[in-house]
Amino acid sequence: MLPLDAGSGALEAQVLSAQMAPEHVSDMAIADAIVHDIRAIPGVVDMGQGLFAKAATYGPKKHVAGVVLQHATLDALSVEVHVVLEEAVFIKALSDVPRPDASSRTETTPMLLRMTDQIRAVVLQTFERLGLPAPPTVDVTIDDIR
Amino acid sequence: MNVFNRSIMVLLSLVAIAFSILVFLLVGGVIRPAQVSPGGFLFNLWSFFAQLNQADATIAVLICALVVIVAVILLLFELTILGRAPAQLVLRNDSLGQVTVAPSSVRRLVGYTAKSIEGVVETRQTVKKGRDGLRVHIRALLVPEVDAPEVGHMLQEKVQKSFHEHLGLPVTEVQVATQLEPFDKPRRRRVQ
Repeated sequence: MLPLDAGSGALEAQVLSAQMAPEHVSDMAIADAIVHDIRAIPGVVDMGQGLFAKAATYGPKKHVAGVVLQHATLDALSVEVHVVLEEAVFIKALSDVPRPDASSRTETTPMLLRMTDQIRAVVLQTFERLGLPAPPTVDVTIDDIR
Repeated sequence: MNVFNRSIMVLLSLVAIAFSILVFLLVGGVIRPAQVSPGGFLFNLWSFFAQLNQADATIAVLICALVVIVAVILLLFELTILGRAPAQLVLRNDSLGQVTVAPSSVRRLVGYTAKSIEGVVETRQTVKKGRDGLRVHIRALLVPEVDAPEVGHMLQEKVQKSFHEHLGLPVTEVQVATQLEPFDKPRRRRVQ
């Protein structure tokens, strides 16, 4: 049953079953590991709470905000990550005059996408470290910039 | 109220409307209880309404009419709110999934970009998703010494260029309105 959250107005839409992921690593352990690794990325201030629905992985008596794990198939987990990025990074980039001769991939890939690419890469690394098969999808949502 | 609660409200409204319509039809003798009781389901309930005397039937009809009105109002209200769910801006959609950003974050970024231009004190902005890109409307408070049309033009160019190059978001329209009056005027207090 979906829990009702009248206080914040947010929906706790993702109540995931306490299924065990492949290799017997619990969803909570995976979500915890993802959050830990993402928080270490420069420019990531916090995990997001979701925009319209509360984004979290739920376990017994606790939840991990900012990561939603969905069992796409029996042996694959889809990941949805919500992050809050640091405004200082953007203020600096936006106040710099863009260089018209920028030619390398790092320079031409927009900063926001570079950061989200990094987040996706970290999620994939986390799965690899835990000995899990790579998730088929890693959705990233930038909930806020502060 | 969250999405789940709103969905429940929509469902309950629909059930209330359907129930009331059935009562109207039963009381009016348009349908018989057996026709709306598949396998005898709720047959007794429908029979009760079908056998009401004229006075009770009138009361039932009035109550049902009231229920329908309330349910329709609730339904319209909930559907309007649900339809206004914030549309996220999709930055990338590839084989690995979607990358999205909240419109409020983009609005903030417009503000940062605008404030990086000399002469801009404060801005208020709205960002809307157009068919081919973002449509940005900026109201900028400028210092009196600057050339407003020039700053406005710089603002347009910088927002468009910065968003495309740093954020990967195409901007199709940047409307700028400049002003020298502060956005929030201090309210005068009447001294007695």
